[in-house]
Amino acid sequence: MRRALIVSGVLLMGYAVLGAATDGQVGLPGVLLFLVVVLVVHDAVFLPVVLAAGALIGRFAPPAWRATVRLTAVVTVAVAVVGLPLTLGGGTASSEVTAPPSPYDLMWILIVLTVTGLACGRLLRARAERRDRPRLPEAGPGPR
Amino acid sequence: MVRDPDARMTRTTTEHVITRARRVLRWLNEPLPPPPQRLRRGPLRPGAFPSPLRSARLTAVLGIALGVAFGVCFVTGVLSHLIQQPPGWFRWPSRPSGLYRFTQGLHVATGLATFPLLGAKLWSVFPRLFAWPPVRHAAHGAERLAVAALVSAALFQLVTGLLNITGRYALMPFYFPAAHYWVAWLAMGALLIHIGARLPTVRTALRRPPHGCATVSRPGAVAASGGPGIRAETPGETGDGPRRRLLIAAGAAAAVITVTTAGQTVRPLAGISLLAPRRPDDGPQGLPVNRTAAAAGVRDAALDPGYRLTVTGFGREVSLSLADLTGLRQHTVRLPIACVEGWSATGTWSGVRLRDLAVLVGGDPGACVAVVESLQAAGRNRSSVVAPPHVADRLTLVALRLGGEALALDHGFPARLIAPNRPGVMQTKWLTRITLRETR
Repeated sequence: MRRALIVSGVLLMGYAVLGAATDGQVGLPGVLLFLVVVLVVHDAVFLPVVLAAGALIGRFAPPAWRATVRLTAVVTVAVAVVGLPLTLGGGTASSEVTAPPSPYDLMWILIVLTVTGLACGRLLRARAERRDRPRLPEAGPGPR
Repeated sequence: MVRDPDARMTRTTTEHVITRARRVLRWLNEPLPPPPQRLRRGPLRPGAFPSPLRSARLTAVLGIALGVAFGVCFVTGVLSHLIQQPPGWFRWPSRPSGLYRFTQGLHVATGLATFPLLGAKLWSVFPRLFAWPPVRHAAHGAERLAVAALVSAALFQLVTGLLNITGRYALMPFYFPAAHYWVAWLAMGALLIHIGARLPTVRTALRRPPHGCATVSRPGAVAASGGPGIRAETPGETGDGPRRRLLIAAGAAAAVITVTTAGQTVRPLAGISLLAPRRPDDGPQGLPVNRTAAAAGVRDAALDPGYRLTVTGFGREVSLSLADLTGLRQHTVRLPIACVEGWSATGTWSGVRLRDLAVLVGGDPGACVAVVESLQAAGRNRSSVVAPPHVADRLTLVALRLGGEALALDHGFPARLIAPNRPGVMQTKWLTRITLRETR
């Protein structure tokens, strides 16, 4: 099965390369350039920044809050990446469409605040429940 | 007994090929000389990635989720491509009328939700980029190249898809539909190779160890499945604790992105779709527009009182003014405009059935195709082909009105095509000519 998967994969990649090379519409140099650029930007810029942010969270966030901060950071970064082209474009999807511009930067902040609020609320509730839970008597030496 | 010399020669050739193949395989797996240790610096040094959050199991779970997401995107994307550029063997039905709306909405929603999943997966395997030695043998080198192709193609697909649905065409130095299509095949090929190469690793990582079996975590160890900086799964930490929370964070990010963008096609979510590039009610007459009359350069021609729609075919030609078209039997249908960019919205359209126009020039609607042309002087979308199932469908109209009013100029005034189960880009606007011909 593994061999079949690998051989099929090689055939599909060959089909893709051949198709792109013979399709006059593609613009192959631009595609190759973009393939390299996204890889380099991701591996040499984006991920090191994410790792540094993760290290900072691990170092400075209190242990009880670390998971909450991490969740908020993951959601914030993901939403920021998806919303970036719209935010940079002045809030419109394209110059040719009829849609009015939207304040995507404000919406992004609203999403982040909502997620942070929900995550913090959940954490505080869990802590309150733990605090209110009756403590079990400490285990002592039992009857022998 | 006389032996067949041809059979013997064939056997000899086969044996020769097998011997050569074995030799190549041996060469591929022959260890290469290790690079000098002094080069092992920075991220290449042991323990450079100390995060205890990474594990082979986390990577495997994220990999499976990504595989499913990419599979969905690939199938729905290839389908969209086939609908727009149908080869001879391909048939696309006109019903259910909202099928394309569903498949393309799913394509874009899945692609958007894949961002955090791909991000988390690439983060979880990042230490493998700095594995030491970088290449153990030729086969290992080939596998690493396939992984580079996979990562690059996956990033390419997500980034270009996002740029396309947000209208940032100028940032892509290529023709998006063709490039997105061919790189999808490249990504799928690389994905199959990756699955083939890593299948045992995934199986091992997902196998839950028996309870009570205690082993020790080995940070930074080259685990059987994980690689440098990725821990082998150890009982007690399987699926729980911080790593599970990280998985939840990636899932939560995917859910937030879906909820805040899916409203561009799922109307009940429109109110909370804060990041949707389009809203289903944005635009004239409550429907979005992707290309305005001004951008298409048809404003004057569309507003010209001398406008005529020419219907030709089967040796006849009919020229119809807007008043002539209005004088023909009118029909009203509710159909969605489903854009390739993922947004969709339903409108109430009124106009003349395309099948009635086919009959007008003596054609059999069930056995003819129509080529519909726009007033646009140029452009890839100035014309489209309507296949027999759509020509014959009673829902297919040359629409003159939307929501009870004359079509807005940006919606295709004076006349546009609206047909069930077709991409919006093929619902040609500002019609000027319809050519009908028999199906070959």
